[in-house]
Amino acid sequence: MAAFVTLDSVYKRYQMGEVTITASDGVSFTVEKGEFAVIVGSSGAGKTTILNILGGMDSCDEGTILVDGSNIAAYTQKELTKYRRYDIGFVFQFYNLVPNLTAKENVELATQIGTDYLDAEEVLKEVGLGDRLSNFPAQLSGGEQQRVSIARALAKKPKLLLCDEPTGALDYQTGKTILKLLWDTCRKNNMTVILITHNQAITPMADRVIHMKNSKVSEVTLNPHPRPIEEIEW
Amino acid sequence: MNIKAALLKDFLREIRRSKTRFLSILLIVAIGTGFFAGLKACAPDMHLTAEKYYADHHLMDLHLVSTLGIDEDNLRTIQDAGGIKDLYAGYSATLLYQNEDSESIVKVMSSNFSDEEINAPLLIEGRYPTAPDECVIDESGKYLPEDWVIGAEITLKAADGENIDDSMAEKTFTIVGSVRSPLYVNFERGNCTIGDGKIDTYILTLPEAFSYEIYTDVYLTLDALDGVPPFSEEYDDILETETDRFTKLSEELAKARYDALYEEGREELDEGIAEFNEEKEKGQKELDDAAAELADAKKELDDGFADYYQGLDELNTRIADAKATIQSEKETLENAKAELEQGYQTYQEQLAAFEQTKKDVGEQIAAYEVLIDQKSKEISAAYEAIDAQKALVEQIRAFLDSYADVSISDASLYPEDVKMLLSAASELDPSLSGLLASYLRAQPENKTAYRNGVETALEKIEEEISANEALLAQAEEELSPIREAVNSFYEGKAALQQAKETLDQNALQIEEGEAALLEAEETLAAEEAEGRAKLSDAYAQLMDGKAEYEDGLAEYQDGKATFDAEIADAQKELDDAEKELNKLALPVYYIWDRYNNPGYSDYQNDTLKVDAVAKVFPVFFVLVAGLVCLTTMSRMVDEQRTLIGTFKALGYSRRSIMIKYVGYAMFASLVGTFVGVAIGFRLFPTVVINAYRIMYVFPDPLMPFRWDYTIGCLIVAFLCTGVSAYFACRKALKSFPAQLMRPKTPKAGKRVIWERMPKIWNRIDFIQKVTLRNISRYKGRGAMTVIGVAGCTALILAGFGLRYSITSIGPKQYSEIFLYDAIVVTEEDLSQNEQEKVTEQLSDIDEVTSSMAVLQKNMDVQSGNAVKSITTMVISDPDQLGDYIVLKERLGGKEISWDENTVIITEKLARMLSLSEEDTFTINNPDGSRLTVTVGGITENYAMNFVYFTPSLYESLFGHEPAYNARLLNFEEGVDEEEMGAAFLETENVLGYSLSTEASKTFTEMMSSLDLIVWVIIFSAGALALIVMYKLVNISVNERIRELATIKVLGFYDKEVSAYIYRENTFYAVLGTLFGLILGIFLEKFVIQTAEVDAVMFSPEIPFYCFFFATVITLFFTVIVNVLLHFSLKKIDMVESLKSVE
Repeated sequence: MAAFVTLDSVYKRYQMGEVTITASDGVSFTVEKGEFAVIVGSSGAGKTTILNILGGMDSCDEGTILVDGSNIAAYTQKELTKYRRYDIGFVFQFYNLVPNLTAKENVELATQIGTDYLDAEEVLKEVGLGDRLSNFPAQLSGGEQQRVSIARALAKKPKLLLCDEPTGALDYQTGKTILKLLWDTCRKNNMTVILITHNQAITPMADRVIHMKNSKVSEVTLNPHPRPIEEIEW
Repeated sequence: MNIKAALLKDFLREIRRSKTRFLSILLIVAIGTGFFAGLKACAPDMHLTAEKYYADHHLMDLHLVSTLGIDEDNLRTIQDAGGIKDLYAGYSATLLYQNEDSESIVKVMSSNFSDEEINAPLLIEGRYPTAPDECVIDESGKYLPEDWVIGAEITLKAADGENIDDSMAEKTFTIVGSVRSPLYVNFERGNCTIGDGKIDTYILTLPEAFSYEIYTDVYLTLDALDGVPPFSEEYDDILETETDRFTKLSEELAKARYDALYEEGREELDEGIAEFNEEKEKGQKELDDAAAELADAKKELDDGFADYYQGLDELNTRIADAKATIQSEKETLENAKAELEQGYQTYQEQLAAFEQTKKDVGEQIAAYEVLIDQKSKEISAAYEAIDAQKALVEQIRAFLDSYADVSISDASLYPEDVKMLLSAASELDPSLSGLLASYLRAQPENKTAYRNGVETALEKIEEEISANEALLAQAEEELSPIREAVNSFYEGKAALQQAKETLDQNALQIEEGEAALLEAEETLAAEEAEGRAKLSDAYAQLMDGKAEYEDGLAEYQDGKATFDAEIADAQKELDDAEKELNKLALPVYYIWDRYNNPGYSDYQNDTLKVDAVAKVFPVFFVLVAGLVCLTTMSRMVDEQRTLIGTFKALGYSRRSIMIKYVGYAMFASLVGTFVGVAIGFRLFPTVVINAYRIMYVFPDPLMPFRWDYTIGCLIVAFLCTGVSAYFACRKALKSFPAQLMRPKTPKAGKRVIWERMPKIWNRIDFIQKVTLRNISRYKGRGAMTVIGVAGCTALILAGFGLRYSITSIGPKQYSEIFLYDAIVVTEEDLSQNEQEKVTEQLSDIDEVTSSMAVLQKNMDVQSGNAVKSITTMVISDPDQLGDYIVLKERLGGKEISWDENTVIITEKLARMLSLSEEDTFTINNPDGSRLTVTVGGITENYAMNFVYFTPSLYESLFGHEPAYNARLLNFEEGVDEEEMGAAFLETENVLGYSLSTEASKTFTEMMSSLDLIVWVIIFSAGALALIVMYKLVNISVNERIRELATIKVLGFYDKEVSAYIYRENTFYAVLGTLFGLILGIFLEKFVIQTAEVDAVMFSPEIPFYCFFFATVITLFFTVIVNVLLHFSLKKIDMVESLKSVE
């Protein structure tokens, strides 16, 4: 059986004046369903490009990307939008909440365009914000905002949860809680999670670690016994 | 590298980098200032254009006219008054021109056709006149007679009761060109006292074409007004002082003119008296001569009659004598006739006697006659036999002689005659033949024997013959008595015949005598007739002579009477002249100025209107432009806070950092302002002035670059952009660099008022909630959008409203209020009879369905200090007025009923004089009296101001019956109105007519200039709305780009992303439109009140469609903005937008 997510020789090039920058240089890897995968690499290694392509926010120039059997590399803009709408959950480093909406409304922003979704309040309770439903983002701490962001991503029951440095703007302790939440979600809901980080220390908690260097996958390691986040220190 | 240099570099690079923003500020400033300065410049440009035009053509400052003309002395006095730059003394006359179609009133003015003279005309076509019988015509003649073309010959005539020779030396002119006179700036040609009182056109000709001995017009330009702009207060002030000066001078002029005229009059009068006396004497002498001549004629006539009667007597005598002679001759003839009668009778008696005798002896006479006849025959026969025997004897003797020597023996050889002789001789005597035969046979010597024997026989026969002859004579003797008896019978008959012949001859003679007498009678009658004819001719001649004499006498008597009357008249005339001379009043001098020129004040008023419009509309543009700049600059500073932080951290002073942004804004404003005003100064005055050039005759507009407005605009633009940039920067620069370098904390969300109303809040859907929150969040920008949109809607509504208000009055006035199809104007002061005749003749035109007489007269009315000119309308039959003119209130449409004691006035008049029902006002009667009337109703009306009277009220006010001078007419539908017009003009006493359709059309055409301005406003407003909304929406999008990228990432379709913004935008647009509609109502009211003139009322209501169009157009622009927005939203790059924080 094919893997849930398969990238095969994905290329992405940017034309900057006369210089061609290759952001993805024949990237290939797979992620199985229900896995907690971490893409790790230093700044500029091409992690975000891969995540953006995988999240349907960007397109690749070459290669195939199979998600649950569909080649999204061949999708049109419209299909990509649909793909983002129904299949993908995104968690950003800077949360990207709509400041003018309450926590609950930010979640509803995602659910009200979907067809199959979780109740916003329920999801927020699950991420531990049951009592902050009608707070505006400005009234929430960074961690809380990130939880809202995760709740927003989860509420639409995505096939794939993509997280771009979710702890990048958070302090150590809060970062850990967020990672725990993501890990738990993965395990509890059998959710496939792909997380980008430059922090090598996180890798032990992942089922699969994809190392990237110079826009290429340098190494993929499988971790048969991931350690819970609580045990990891950095 | 120098710090400042780095900043400068950054500044320039910034402009290059953010071209769109820079251009948008530039553009909005350009539009704002362009519109403001452009519209503002319209009125000054109009003034400037006029000023230059007037200066170039030396338009007069003052115009002097006197009721008694201006003579050379006057002129010298004026010249000596000083302060006069130039002076032109000339002539003018108001005359008539008639062609087949119409009669035109023509003002004829003198000119020297020099470019330097006062009121110098501008030659448009052809050439200037060089002879007095040439002229140039009005170039822009709306009322120019159609047959006036260059080369045409026109003949002018004086108005009724005036003599053209009094004013003109030439009556017929050849048109050699067309000109434009600076005296006339529009199509009005001023007023006059003849015809309908309105001059239709003018012509200019040389002064020699006039016959005046003194000047009629003096035009002046003044030193004090040289170079002073017309229409300015300065001009008016100086004009007032100068007018006062000349008014004072005019008293002196009047005195001088009076003295001159009195002296002249006196002299003329004295001359007149002398002439009168001379003429009188001469006339008397002529009369006396005529009387003597008449007496001679009378004597001659009497002699003639005496001769005639004498001749008549002579004739009668002569005829009587002749008649007597004829009578006596006739009597003689009668006697002869009687005698003849007698003769005939005797003849008849004798004839009868003869007839009796004839009867008695007739038979005997017949028997006698037979007897005589018989005896006579016997005797004759006997004589014949004797004669034959004698002859035979002779023959025998001859035979004997002839045959004395010849012997013939054989009998058979006898010649034939011998044979016959032998046989005849045998009858005479049987023996003879034997003897003879023997003689023949006998030889000559033997013959003698025989011869003797024959001789003897012959002698015996001769004897017997003699015996027989005697016997016969006896028988005849016996017959003679019988013969005598017969003869006497026949003689009796012949005598009778003779008597008859004599009688017949006598009768013939009598007849001849009678014929001669008849002839004599005829001759006499002819003679008499001839004599009488001659006499009667003589008589007729005499009678003719008599009639002639009588005529002569009558003539003489007439002549005498006429002479007496003439003398009396002349005496009276002289007396009158004397009286008049004594009555001679001081002449009135009119000091007119440019404001008396037709159109001059109108032009000034129109420029004021343009100025009024320019005051209101552009403020919106500037306001909106300022708001947009403010927003743009704040946004720019916000976007560049990191950069500002960096500069600050690097140690740049606050001032040098600020200078970049303020400079950026000011640079954009500077360029924008210059671009804007450069276009505005050209575009708007061009459009507006050209629109007004439909109504006014002016050269090409002057549109200088106006530094005052430019600097004003620059200041405003700098304030709007620079100051807003300054404040935006100051706020940012107050923060610490570190703070600045972090992203600006997005504006925190807030509960909105709606959330406190769960009933509403819970019912609306999620997106609506978001929209409501966003609206509450960006109040400032929302307000700006609303103001921009409201301004746009208000302008469009005002524009449409204005357009409606102006264009609707023609149709409203001429098809809803004035229902009549034509108005026909007749002569003034017609008698009752003539009026009825006009009505009758007009009604006789087939197509005319009904007509009503009205009296129209122009008068002034007054209430308080306000004096307005109006037209009185006296309605002959108020009950029928509804068929011609609808009198109703505008609001509610209530019909106005007539009241005998009040007048009905039009709405505009009521407003101008602040009158309402039952108020009173005064009418200034032309005779000087003031009449007070009460307002009985105020009627809807748009063109002109009317005061409606009933005939009875008019009569009681003015003291006489109204002399109707116009007829309102209704036609059948679809008639040829031109033909109707011709029919009207054929009617006696009709001066002219005006068709409602034509009037309506003219009205609409007149208003078309304003229409154009309105469209300019509408489109500018639309462009404004578009730019404002697009600008604001773009800022809004930029500010919220992360938010938009997020929802894109969340999987919102493009449509949904757009809708997310549209909702807000549409909300602002709708709100703005609503505000705009309300604002527009007030704006329209204001504009209308500023633009209205006395004679016109614009429709004050705004019809629904204006609201509809204002809304639709605004929303249309909103849709355009939304469509543009959709494309820019589509272009948002999620990846770029989300990583921008890094």
